[in-house]
Amino acid sequence: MNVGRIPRQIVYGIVLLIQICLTLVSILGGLSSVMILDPNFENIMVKNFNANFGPGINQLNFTFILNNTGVYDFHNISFNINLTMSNATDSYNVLNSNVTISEIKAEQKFEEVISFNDSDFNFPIDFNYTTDYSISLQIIIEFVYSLDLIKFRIFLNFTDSDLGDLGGL
Amino acid sequence: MTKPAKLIFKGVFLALIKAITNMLIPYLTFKYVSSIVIMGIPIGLTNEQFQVIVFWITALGLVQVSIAFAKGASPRRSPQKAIWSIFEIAVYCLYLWCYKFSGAASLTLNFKYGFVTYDLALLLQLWLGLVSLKLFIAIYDLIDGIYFYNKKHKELKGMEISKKIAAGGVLNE
Repeated sequence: MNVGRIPRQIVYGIVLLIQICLTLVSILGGLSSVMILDPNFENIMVKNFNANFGPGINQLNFTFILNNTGVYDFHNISFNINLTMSNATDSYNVLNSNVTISEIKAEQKFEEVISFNDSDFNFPIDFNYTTDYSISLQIIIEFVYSLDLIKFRIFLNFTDSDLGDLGGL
Repeated sequence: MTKPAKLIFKGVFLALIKAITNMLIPYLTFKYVSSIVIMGIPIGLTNEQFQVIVFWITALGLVQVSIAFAKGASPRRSPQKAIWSIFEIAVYCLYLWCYKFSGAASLTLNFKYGFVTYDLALLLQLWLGLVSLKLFIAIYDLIDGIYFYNKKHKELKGMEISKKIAAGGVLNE
């Protein structure tokens, strides 16, 4: 072999090694991403809704489950919870809150009751609690996965009937 | 096997590998993702999304296959091999970029209570970085190929002159 080509072969070897590592990370990350997304709603689950609305007694709590069935940790997890109450004429965004978690390790399950009390809600002063309102709860979860190379954004939207099916309201 | 036949065989082999890795595997992957239906809920890609992704994979995949053939069929350490390598890298960059503008880098999968978006832009950027490293190697190969070709050319010329001298042709002239 030509001695002059040895540095080239070394650089080529390093690039090849990086390429193999990146291929493995891409395949592992891609496959496990599909594993995390479970349409049976087992890995990303919201249940046991409990809500009370009235002057000074507003509260909402539910159990949130995020199961990391993948091979990498979830990092920079942020939840945005948004509750809208509307009737035929008006729509009120009564709750807008952010919750952050630093990480969920691989093969670990995050299961926690998320609670909001009266001070978290921003009902208008003239809000009429006696009127029938339809409720829409939006939960947006964002986190990074696969050595922070894949960004997930999960958007969940629950209406009255969904919340009833999931054990609440 | 003669040398040209060997080169053609190598070209066909490389083109086949390229077709499998850059066309067949992505096509089957996206086809699988687009057809996922569990418990009656289709979570996959929409038909329109799938068609756009497949179009770009096929279009740039075919260009890559032809360049892979040309590169494989070029002699070792030749300038044309290095030039085809540079072309291959340029098309590969476009191929990676097509994942972005075809929507494949930001997949949205729907399910009963909402949707999930996978953003693979960062992963693609890392791949593009790796490809640019390969570009440096290809440029080095081009310089090396030109130098090697000139050296070989000079050696052949020298050998011809030596043969002529040995045959007495130069003296007779």
